[in-house]
Amino acid sequence: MPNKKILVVDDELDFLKLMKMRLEANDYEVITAANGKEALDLIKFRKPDAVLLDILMPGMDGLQVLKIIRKHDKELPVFMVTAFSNMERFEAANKLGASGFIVKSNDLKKEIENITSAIMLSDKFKGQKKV
Amino acid sequence: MKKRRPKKDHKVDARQESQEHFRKAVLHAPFPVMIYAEDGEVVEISRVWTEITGYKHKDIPTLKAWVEKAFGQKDGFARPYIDNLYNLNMKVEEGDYQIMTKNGEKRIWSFSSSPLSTLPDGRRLVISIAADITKRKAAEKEVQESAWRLNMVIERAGNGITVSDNQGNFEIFNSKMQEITGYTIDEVNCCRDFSAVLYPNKVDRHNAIEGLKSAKSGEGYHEAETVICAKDGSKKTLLVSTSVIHYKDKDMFLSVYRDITERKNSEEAIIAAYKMTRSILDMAPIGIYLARSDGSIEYVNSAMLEMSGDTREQFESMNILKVPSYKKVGLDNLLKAALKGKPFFIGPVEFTSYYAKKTTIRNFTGLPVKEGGENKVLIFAENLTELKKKEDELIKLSQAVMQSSTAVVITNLKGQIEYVNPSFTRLTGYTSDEAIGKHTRLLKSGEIRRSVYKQLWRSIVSGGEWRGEFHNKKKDGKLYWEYASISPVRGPDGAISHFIKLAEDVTERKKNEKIIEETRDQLALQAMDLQKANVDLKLLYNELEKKNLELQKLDKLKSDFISTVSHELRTPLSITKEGISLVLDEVPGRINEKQREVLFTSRNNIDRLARIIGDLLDISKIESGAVGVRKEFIDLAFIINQIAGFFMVKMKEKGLKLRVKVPKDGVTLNADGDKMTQVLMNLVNNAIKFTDKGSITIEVEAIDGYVQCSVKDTGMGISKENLPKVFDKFQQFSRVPGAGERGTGLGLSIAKGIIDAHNGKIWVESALGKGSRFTFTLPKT
Repeated sequence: MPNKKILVVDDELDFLKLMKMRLEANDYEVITAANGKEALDLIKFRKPDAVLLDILMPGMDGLQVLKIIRKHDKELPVFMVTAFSNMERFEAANKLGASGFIVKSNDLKKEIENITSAIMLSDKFKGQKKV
Repeated sequence: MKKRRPKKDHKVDARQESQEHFRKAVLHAPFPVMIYAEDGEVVEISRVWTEITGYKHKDIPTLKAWVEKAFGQKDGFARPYIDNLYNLNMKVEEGDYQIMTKNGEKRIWSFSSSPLSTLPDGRRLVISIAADITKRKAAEKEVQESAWRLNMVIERAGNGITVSDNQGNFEIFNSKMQEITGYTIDEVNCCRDFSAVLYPNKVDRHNAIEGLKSAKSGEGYHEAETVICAKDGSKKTLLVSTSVIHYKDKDMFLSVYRDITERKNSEEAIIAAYKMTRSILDMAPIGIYLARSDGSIEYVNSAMLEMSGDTREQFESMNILKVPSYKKVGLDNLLKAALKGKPFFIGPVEFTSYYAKKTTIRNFTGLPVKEGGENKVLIFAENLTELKKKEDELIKLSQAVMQSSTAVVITNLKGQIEYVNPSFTRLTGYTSDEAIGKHTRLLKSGEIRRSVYKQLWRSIVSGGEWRGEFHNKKKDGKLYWEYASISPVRGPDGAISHFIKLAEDVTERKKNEKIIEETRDQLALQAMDLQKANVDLKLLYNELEKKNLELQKLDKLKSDFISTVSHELRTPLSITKEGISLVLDEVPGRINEKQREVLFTSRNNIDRLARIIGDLLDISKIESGAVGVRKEFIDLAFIINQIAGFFMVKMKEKGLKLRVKVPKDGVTLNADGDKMTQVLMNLVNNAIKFTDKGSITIEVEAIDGYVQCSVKDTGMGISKENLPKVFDKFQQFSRVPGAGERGTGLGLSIAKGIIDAHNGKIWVESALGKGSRFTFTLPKT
């Protein structure tokens, strides 16, 4: 089974670097984007299996990107990444069809484990639909 | 005629005889009789005829001659008359005629003619019997004339005259009576009982009829006053004399009325005037009484009674010639003299009234008066008691003026001094002898401006008072200050007669005033300084206010800054933490134990930093009022259980017991669940941190509309002085030594902020060494 391809979108390049390291340690193929426009291009051309999308970004923010993603693809797992837990933001993202959340200040090891299972679930769901 | 006689003498038959008798009878009839034939020949006249007329038979041989003589008519007799007499079937022709006697006397005869018989020669005879009614006629005329005259008299009489029956019907109601009553004779006549009209008042009517009756009952003449009602409604008082007369075969009442309304009115006016005089006397402020010649009292006025204190009965029963108090002051003799026509005046005397024993001081004036031929004395008594009192007061007053410490000067209208009191002498050095007669300018020092005097005079001459200060000169030339009040004095007629000046020496006061004035100036300067200081203060205040605004701005900036910074801090912190975590997780490669320990410590501190940043963010939100409370129905018991589970391990490690007391059914309330978790986490975390042994108890219960929740520990407690600061920011009273979680000092501030935002209350009960108990209450909804 080929490795799952995950797109990480964040304007913090340091974070991207560490995240890439963490995810690759978990056997994911990681592609990264530093802004929303790049992310949308990569989704279009590289077709990731899941997206980790930072909410706070200059220019187009995560919620806007999510909105555009959901216009074309309602099933792609998109996890919103925030610096800290903020219920209002979570709710707004939920409404736009976010698949889950990652809080940066939390233990990312655990957060990755959580999304891994989420991706697998969505994968299964996807497969069932195809059949 | 001669022819006939022999005939008579010759023919003696029964018929002739009877005719002869008849003729004799005619001749001797006691009234004028004439017999004439139809051709006009007078056959016979009676003697009476001749007696009255003076005409013998031979004078009037024919009817024509008689008519000519008696009536002065040439053709007075006509045959047709006799024809007519016969044709009228022998009816008697009557008529009154005036005839002329031989000597020119006029008489009135009433003729009645009738056909008699026929003469032997066939001529018809007429007998004419006359009654001489001259006397009767004259009497009749006289009666008529007297009646006419009477009528004239009645009609033109100045009095009303009526003739009426006892039914009230009027036969006569003369013009004057019509004038008095206003009713015309027609109106009177058409009334059945006119007296009812004249006397609409039953009493008047009754009286009037009674009057008539008394006249009838034989007195013959009755005079009375009666009041009638005229047509125009006015009342008229009439004096009526009624007598009974025989009029038209009836007993009737002849009443003569005199209109005395005017007189009555004037009588009433006189009575009113008399009454008024009496009331004037009564109202007179002076005692007045009238004594008769025998000393008895005829009249006494109210003022007199008031003066004496006696009642009217008492006073009027008194004989002033015998009362001792009159004797005592010698009034008895004076009164006796007055009764003989000598007026007197005596007084003032002290007089004690007879009955009331009231003592007054009086003047007596006695005036002899003659009334109805009787000598009387009119006595005026003036009560001087009050006046005496006033006089005494005046004496006292003048003494007061004399003794007053105020200098008093009284001047005439020209300003010449008429009186000064001793104080004036003391003040100015001028004795009263020296001052009196001089002008007040005697005291002028020349230091007062002319305009002041001018104004003074203008003021007092117009009746006003003037007050002010004078700088005057004493007799010895020394100057002094006086405070004077000058006012006009008015005489009894209200005109200004004098001026009075009351003056006080204010020289000393003037000196003091100077000092006071200086002090006042100094004070004014100080006040100005103070004012300046005040202005400075104001400026300062404005500046402070400006600064305060700036500070407020700064505070906002600070909050914004904290929130921004916290945000910005988080990202690098997360990255750093993640970096360390990656190394600790040996993703980049293996590490030894020492390296692990160092990195572990670093990560702990990074966590702590993250917590501080999180708390700072919370507190800045609370302070800016931006705490978003998302209320929903939550079960606080459930949250407490969760928290208990969360801390279970930590507490077991520390050896602490955890007690949770929650109702089985839970405790629901409308609140922000996340925030409640945060509050409880803080409280429980604190409790664990500061408790080394014993237990922590979390309790929740619903009380009425509230939910009360408490976290109790058996820890070190909080000192009394620290207790009030527990909920302040950055308060950390006892740092726990050694490793482990460090606090930020913001936890309780945040907890309080959250509870406040829920309209709840939070407080602490604690004592050093005896543990703490944090309690908060929240409204259920």
